[in-house]
Amino acid sequence: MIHDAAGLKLPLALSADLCVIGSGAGGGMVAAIAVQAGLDVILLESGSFIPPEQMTQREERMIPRLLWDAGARTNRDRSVQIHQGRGVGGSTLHNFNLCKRIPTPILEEWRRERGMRYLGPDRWESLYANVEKRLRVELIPPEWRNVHNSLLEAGCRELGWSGGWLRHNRSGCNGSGYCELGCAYDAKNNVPKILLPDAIDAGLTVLTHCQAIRIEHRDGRAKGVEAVAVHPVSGDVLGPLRIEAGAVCVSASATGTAALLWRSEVPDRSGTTGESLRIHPALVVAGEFSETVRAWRGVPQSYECTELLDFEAAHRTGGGDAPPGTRTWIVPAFAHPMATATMIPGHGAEHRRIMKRYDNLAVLTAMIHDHSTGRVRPRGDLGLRIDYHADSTDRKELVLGLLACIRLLRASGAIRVFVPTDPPLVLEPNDSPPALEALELDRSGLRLAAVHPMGSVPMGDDPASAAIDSRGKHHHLDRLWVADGSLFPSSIGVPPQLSIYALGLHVGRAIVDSPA
Amino acid sequence: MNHGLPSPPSKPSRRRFLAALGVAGIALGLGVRMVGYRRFMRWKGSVLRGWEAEVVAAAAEVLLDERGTGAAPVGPSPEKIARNVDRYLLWLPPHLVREIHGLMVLLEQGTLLHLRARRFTRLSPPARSEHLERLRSGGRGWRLLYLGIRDLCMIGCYQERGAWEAIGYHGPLIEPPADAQPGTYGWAQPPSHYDRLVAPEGDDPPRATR
Ligand SMILES: Cc1cc2nc3c(=O)[nH]c(=O)nc-3n(C[C@H](O)[C@H](O)[C@H](O)COP(=O)(O)OP(=O)(O)OC[C@H]3O[C@@H](n4cnc5c(N)ncnc54)[C@H](O)[C@@H]3O)c2cc1C
Ligand code: SF4
Repeated sequence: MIHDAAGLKLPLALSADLCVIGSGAGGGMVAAIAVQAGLDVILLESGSFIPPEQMTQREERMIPRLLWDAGARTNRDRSVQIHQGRGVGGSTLHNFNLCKRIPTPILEEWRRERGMRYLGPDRWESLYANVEKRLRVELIPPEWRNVHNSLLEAGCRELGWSGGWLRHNRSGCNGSGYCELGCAYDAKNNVPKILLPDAIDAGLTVLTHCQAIRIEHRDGRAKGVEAVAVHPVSGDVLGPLRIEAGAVCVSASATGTAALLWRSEVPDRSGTTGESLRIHPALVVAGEFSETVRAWRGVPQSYECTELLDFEAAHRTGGGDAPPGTRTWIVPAFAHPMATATMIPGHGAEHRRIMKRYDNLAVLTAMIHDHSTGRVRPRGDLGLRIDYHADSTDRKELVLGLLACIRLLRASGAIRVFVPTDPPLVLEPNDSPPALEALELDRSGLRLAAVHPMGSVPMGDDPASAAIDSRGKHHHLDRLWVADGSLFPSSIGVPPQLSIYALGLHVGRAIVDSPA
Repeated sequence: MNHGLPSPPSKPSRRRFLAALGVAGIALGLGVRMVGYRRFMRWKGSVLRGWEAEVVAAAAEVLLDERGTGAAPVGPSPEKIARNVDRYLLWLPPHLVREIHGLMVLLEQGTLLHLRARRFTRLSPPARSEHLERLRSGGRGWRLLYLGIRDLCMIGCYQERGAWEAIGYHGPLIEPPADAQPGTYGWAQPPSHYDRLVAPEGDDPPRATR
């Protein structure tokens, strides 16, 4: 059953065969696999359980509930907004349901460079097949494609650029467009809908508002978890809980996991924990159309432009010196008014002028398959710090992406293009983009956003260069496992949820198969 | 030799006297700059103090006004914006709340650094606008200050129906039930078909000990 730790009499001690920390795609899957195999499992989740009936489609109510730091999480120098989900289901509660597999050149590179004895391309193939079936992944049907996404398709067609319709995990969708605020219609085939009911029927215990602060370990073995109950709104500590466990699996996301391992002083002779965070940094560009676009209605992201995405070329030489224009993925990106207003630069008349065209705007985002690495560290008992700065090649790639978005918007018929530099750059039809190739991101006022943190505890079979092996098992502390986006040895260049579910399945099975 | 007696107080030097006078002057000046907030006399905020709510309202008046004169800001009233901001801040972790309080002090008193005798909330709307523009084009720290207050005002404004009509946004498809009581998350939560998964409030999980 789901127990709200904030409502329990504390302190409290519990015991289980396995304690899973974090209920996102990774942790939710591990918990489901383990409990169905007969293990006694406790799943800790810092956020709330938010069923569809509580998804109110109001930004001011849902964003603070669904996202860490009420949506205000950033890197240390505030140049990138980093959105991460909080709640039973983690980011699967509010993501856009796109499903893509990791491209083969990346899997091959991992095999060459990290061993991956237990998780080569063939194993991925079978994991994907399993997960896609569970999540009912299918191509977005034509009736769900909205004007916004069709404009991107038209732009690609006009320029002769490559692109295509995407696959999603949703059923019974009515195209309300509120995906990023949680689905009130229970149409997302996510952790709470697909995995939780059967897992709870099999005996899973979920503790919400329960934040792990340390992994307890002694004599080279994980022994349990020290946690606290937190207030659902303020996050204030309400009291302690201790979970004694035969094994611990950390699935607190690519930021939360690295911070927790550090705070717990988990030994890592490879020195890699928290050292190689990737985030898929992204920029947006808006186009104004004379006809109504109403981008806020309909399935938000159903079409992708892949013209600047060439994984073969980008990974031919090991990924480090990929040719420019091979690491950028372009999709539509739209937000409801509150979030849109914060993304549009400036204030007063200049801001209002763009806001007034809200109904006629199409917005594209260029997201890059980044090489730059960031660092994650804990901040006190409950928080974390992220240091990330895109290096010069990644910054150039972002600018190329921005130029491509401008071209696509114009090709699809935009009468005006807004580049959100500060002050905003407004391009009328005949204006040539003024020297944008030389644009210095750091000085431009452009704000980056990231929704795919990953790679902070990269797996690999050599304990000298990895903390975790390719089963998800910690090399340097027995009975400790990791299953979430932290494990990717590099950025993956595509949306990660499907691969994180697959990792959850892989690690969950390995836990079940490992001797107690 | 001391003999265990306290040494007599030394005579204050002229320099020390002047320094003390200077400190007292600054304290008095700052004290004067920190009193006399009367706009929201009955303010009961959760995070923002009354004077901070005034700072938000004063900023919103010019940031959301197309002419920067404060004559006709879009959307809800500045007080409503301050209330919305206050409610949003409830969700922030302590380190960010501390930053917000710091932001308010800097914005309100930072006019001194631009050689203005009046604090931010006492400036005329055009002067407030000008001050915000200077922050916007100033160094990194000032710019972050500008972005911080700007984002809060946008959050406070564009969550309101009153701001939506002019931009063509139709609003949510879901409305609270007619008999809905106000609750922490907007309105009291209706029953869910997932309720069978949830243990009764206060029920201990299996094998719990104290
Ligand atoms: C707006 C948005 C849209 C997205 N759209 C897509 C998309 O369309 N397709 C796609 O593939 N991906 C998408 N993503 C990304 C994807 O959803 C995530 O990368 C993925 O779900 C992450 O899974 P995870 O298990 O690694 O971590 P998370 O989902 O972040 O789960 C970690 C969980 O652990 C909890 N937690 C953290 N620390 C602790 C602690 N100490 N104690 C207890 N609990 C803790 C968190 O609250 C959270 O619930 C999107 C992300 C965002 C933000
Ligand atoms: S668009 Fe579909 S999946 Fe998204 S919130 Fe609406 S009904 Fe749910």
